[in-house]
Amino acid sequence: MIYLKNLFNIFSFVFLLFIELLINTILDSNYFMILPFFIGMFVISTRRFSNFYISVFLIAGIYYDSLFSSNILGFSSAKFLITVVLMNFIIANQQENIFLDFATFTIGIFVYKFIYSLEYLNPQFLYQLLISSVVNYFLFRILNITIEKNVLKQKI
Amino acid sequence: MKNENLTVRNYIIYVIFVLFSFSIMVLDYFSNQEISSTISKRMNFLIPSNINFSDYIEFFDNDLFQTRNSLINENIRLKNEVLELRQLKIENDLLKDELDSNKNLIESVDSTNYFYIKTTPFIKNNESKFLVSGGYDQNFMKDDIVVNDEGFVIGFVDKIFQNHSEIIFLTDSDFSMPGLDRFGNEYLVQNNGSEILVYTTLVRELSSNIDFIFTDTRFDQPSRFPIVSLTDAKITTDDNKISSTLEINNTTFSFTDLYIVKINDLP
Repeated sequence: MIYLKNLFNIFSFVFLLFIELLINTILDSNYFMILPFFIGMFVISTRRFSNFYISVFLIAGIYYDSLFSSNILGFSSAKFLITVVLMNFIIANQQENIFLDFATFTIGIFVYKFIYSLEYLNPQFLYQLLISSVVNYFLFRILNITIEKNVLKQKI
Repeated sequence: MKNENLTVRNYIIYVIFVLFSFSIMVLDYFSNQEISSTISKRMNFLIPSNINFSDYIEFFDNDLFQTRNSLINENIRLKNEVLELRQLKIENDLLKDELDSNKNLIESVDSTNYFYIKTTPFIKNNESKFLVSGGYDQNFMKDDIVVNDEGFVIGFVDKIFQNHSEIIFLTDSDFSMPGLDRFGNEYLVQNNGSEILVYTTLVRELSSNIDFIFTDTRFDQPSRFPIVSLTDAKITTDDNKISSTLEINNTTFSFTDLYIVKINDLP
């Protein structure tokens, strides 16, 4: 059952990564990006952190490097794992508050979108990341409220 | 206390796997990306080939959402169109002049030596590079040139996968391509992130009367495909060098038709 659950998570995250690329291709915006894979990563890192997800991000990274980019194999896996650990480390050592949550989300996006090119330091790209963090954090909050609301406990 | 120990143990395991990823990177780097190439040659997961992606996008152009408002808008649009037609007449005269100057260019391209493989950019990756349909399955090669429907070079093939390829477009900051003018001067067309630089690497005849920069066989490219037009650009000629800069136009390549130029080996 554990293996089956792990396999399901791997397929879900790989599919989420593919959807993220597809959405941003269709959107083709210079101002912001929609990052469902990163939102998933943030949920795992700050709400459900465990060793169980290592294989998920490792395989998602290898999948991305070998099929979608000219990166060296393993680069995205390392980046994903570092992002997850870093976000968890910031959140775990502080008391829960929305500003810290957002700051962690923004730092996470900057690490997640890191590329070994000078284009990373382009002010327009950094500005795009900042706007993206606001948009995606808003999406994350909506998703979080929806997931946390237990409809069975609601009074009619 | 028990919880803290568990978190620290989790971190340690995560760090071990980060180091494992780095070791894969080192292996791949020193094997000249042989490992990633082997995977990309054999896998084509989630990307079906031979799909005309523009057909799917056309779904959004249907008449489903046509309303009464759109008919009113249509009326206004037609009125504007009459005004535009008058302007077009003036533009037409200008284009006739441009057509004459392009005639020489078109005649110099021997189209019978080449064949064109139609392709479509369908995914933009995290590094902002486009992936197009067709890869090893269509016999694409690294540095194959990509032209638009006007015949202008807009990029080249960088990395090839089983049924898709990564393209570096003229608008990408790492675009760099050698070219030639009609006097035989050699150039480098380079994108520095903010503008396109065109400068000579070998000067045979110093002139500022340059119209196009072409591809050429001496750079292992198909001959005489225009890369950039310098007809409206300011050309500087000093110190036995010719140079110019061009603005980068924000063009979108998603789901447009592009063509990979291949040399016809058949007699």
